[in-house]
Amino acid sequence: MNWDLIITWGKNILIVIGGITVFFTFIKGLSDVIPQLRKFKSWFWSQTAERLKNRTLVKNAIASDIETHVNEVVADLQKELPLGWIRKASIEWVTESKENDLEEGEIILRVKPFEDQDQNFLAGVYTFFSKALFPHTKEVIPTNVRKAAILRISHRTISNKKPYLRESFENSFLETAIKEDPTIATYLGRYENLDKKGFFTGSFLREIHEIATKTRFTDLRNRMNQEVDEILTHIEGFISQLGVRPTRKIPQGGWYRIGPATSYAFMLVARPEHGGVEPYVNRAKERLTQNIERLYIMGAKEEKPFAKYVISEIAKLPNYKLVEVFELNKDYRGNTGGIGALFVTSQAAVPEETSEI
Amino acid sequence: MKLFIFRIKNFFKTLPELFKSTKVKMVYDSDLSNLVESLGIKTKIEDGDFFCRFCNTQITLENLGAIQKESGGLKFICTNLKCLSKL
Repeated sequence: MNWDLIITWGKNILIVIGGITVFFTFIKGLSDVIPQLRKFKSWFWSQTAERLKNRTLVKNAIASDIETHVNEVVADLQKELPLGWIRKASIEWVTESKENDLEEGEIILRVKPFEDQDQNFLAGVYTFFSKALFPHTKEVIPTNVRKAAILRISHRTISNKKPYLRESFENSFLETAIKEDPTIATYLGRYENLDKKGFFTGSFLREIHEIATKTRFTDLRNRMNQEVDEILTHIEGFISQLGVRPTRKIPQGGWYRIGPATSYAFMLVARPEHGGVEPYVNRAKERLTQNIERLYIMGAKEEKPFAKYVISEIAKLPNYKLVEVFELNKDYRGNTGGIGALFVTSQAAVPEETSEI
Repeated sequence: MKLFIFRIKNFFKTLPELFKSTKVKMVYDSDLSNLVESLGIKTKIEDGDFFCRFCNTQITLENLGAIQKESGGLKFICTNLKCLSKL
């Protein structure tokens, strides 16, 4: 027997197996960070599953397809919502479990074969947002407020990215939620109104998350509904005044709200021709004298570079801490795009490691 | 310059987020029987002891859509999308 030949073959086979493993691990790692490659991964699994009719491959194909589609629709939200809220979705197949292994509130969804993939996808998106929105404050925020927020975000992303599923989502998820609790319809309408000007994800969600974080162990927790309604009413009043020349119509007190848990103010940034950056910096200083803890900068899409300049100038003020710079779904003029930023006063700033944002 | 530094800091702060994920637990159709058995509820499901928490339909292995842990116990939801949307 030619041992040398066998050893050489063995080595070659191991090299090929090693090479394939390295290649697929590399592709898998890349697909975690490059969304376009996830489509390739999903296509690869579905083709392989179709040819080999293997159950494990079919499961991989379904998981990969749902992950790809969910991640595709949620990717843009990463830049819009607070840091840490939207992470990529990953499917964990459960084949067996003990009751104690499940966390409180945790859901195991049954997934059917490919012919029900639209239903799998809708259920996947909804479950994903239920889990992702308001981390750590879910139980503090009233159910109808939270549910309407999940539905609004799901509806918007599905309408934009998978319009053919919009009707199906409306007929099942939206309709049922409203039948179950009619107040959800009211919130949905109000959220949509805010969303048209970028204030839903830009400031509203951030504010209620902040309030929920602060009031978790206080009496105010029992009055969250009232607090949410007051914030909604304030922002609605504010945006109803936004016209072609917004600053002329908004009364002085309309620009900010001082509540029992938080205080915030808005600053709309667009017109560099009106005295440059100085008036904006002065207004930011003025908010400090009013003891307003949180300052939202809402920059118009057309003036994004100027808005960034204003943000960087306000960041130089010693009493302000820049917490976040985020993208807006719509700017305050209703155009797609725009940039936002959140500052907190130094006294109100929470240490970075404990911050929810 | 400060915004630039903020962006650099933010980039390193957000970098780990790229590798974190929100896990959604799912059970494949053909693994359901095995799962309910491991949870110790297969016999009870076969005996018709459980009902959908939303529409009160009797839960069977055919119409079980989701299992949720709530208030320390297990709740069951049927496959009707209208019930799943109430989760």
